[in-house]
Amino acid sequence: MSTPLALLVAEVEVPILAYVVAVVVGTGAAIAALWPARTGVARIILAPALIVAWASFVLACVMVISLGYQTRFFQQQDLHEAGTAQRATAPMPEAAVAAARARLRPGDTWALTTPDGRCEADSWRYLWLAFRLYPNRPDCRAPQLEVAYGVAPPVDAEVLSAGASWSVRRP
Amino acid sequence: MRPALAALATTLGPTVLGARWVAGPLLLRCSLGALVGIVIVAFGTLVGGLVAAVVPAVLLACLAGWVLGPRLRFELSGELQAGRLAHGVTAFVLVIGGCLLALSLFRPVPAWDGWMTWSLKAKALAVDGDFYGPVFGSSTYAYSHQDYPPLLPAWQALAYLIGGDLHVSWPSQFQLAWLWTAGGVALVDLVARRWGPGLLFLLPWLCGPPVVYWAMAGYADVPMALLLLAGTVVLLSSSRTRPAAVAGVLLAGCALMKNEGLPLAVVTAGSLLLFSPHKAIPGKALGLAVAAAMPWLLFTRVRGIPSDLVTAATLQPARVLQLMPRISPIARAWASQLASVRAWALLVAGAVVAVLVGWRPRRDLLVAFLISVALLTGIYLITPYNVSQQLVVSIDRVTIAPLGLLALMMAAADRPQSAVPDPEPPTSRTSI
Repeated sequence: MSTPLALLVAEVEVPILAYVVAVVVGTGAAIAALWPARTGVARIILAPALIVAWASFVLACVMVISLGYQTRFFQQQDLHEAGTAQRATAPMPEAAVAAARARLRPGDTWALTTPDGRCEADSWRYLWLAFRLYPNRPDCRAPQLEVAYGVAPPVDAEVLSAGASWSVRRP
Repeated sequence: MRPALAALATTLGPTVLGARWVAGPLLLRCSLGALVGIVIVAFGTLVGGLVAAVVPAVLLACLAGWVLGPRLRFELSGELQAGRLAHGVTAFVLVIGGCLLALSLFRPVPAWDGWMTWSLKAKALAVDGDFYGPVFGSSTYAYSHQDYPPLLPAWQALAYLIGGDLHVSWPSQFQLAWLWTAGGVALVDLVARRWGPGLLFLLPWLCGPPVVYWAMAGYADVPMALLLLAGTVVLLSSSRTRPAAVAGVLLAGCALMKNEGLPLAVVTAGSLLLFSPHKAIPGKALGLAVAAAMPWLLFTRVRGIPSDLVTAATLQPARVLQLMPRISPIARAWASQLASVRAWALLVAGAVVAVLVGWRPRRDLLVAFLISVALLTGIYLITPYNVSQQLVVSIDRVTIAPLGLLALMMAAADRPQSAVPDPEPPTSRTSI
């Protein structure tokens, strides 16, 4: 997922050039900010602190750049409410979430089925969807709405909405 | 438009409120004041959730904060040591904070605990107006750790309420970026004022990958640690003539951020109390923190919401003894964090070298650091979950608060004798 240089195990690779930029910017900022501590007796005493401070400036720049790439990934994936928890793909298409929301009435419950199984069996998608569909609660025994991702709905099901890899139906 | 209003109202509002609790330069009043104000406003929301009256409780908390601020104000003494250095570092923290604030406008809640624990509860409080709904009581949502103290969700709930849209989450990212920036600026200023160039040892913690990453992940670990460190620094800067209220408010915020927040606040303030010549100050702050944590603790006990980690069953001596072999993987996990450049290697290496060249760490903070490490190790020891799995998913952020104490311990350390003179009176030091 990430290069040995990567400080953030995130959704996307950060190009090496970005790290170079971070080192240059961080070093420049460190020189500017730490300049007052460069002279006098304090220089020797402060050497360990100055070195870790310089490295900290660089690390902070690297982290901002890494978070910038992560943020761009979220935007590219159309993820404006919940991210992907360091995975390189969205849990499911936004169209599926929108379709489920459109069909859920106040107080309706829902359940999720994916190739991994039902509800908590695919905890990544289940917990993600529980956040997205709140205040509608999950109820995996007797839901009013079934969301299926990556699996075909039963042939006799009333499909309310569907896409390439998902469907929303009433049981 | 309303989400922007929510982001600004829940950050600028508490900042203006909290600034009344702090005397001194504007930047310090706004930064430290932001932390104080956020705790006051969020605590008001939390109490409002307990009594099913969020809006009146928040307004009452704001009114009380506004009136009490000048009476309980924290006043600084002394000029800023290493002023130019402090200004440079502060400027850098502000630039990084500005970048995080800009990014937050485009960020969702990125990761697991954001969805399943913190922001989910914020949505629930915003929708229900209390803590009696299914997210806090139904077994369907047991995965959300229903007993966790909800100060962060309480603050985030205000953003959802004002924003008016449960599906717009970037204001909560803005809040967290604001908190990191305010906390960073406040810590740099306070430490520079008290201990001068020692502030440089704060940087590998504040700007380190774990703190910056988890600050923007939607988790409560960094807010808790920032409040712990700010409360500790304020406590160390208090004297008999300055009330401990601000330190108490900050430690109360720490205590209500996560389950380990209260023990960490008790351990840290307790260590300071043990070594302080003025025991009344940490004693009062500690009392305030414990008192503030009580309503939520009582609520979880009365409602029968169990802890999923520390229970009578998990603490049985026979069971704990059987689990002793876990010490080895736990120690390896700690060691991996201390040695990793992605985590704390820079801070640890800097601290070790500094001690070798003559820096003398504070005893009280060293004790607090060691006990906090032992405390969190103990929690891993007794966990009913698969400890290997739990270490994988949490060790990198659970270490944030204890390593913050380590950074503060070094920042507050006595410099070697040949260093620049220290204008602070030696009686205020407690060093090895």
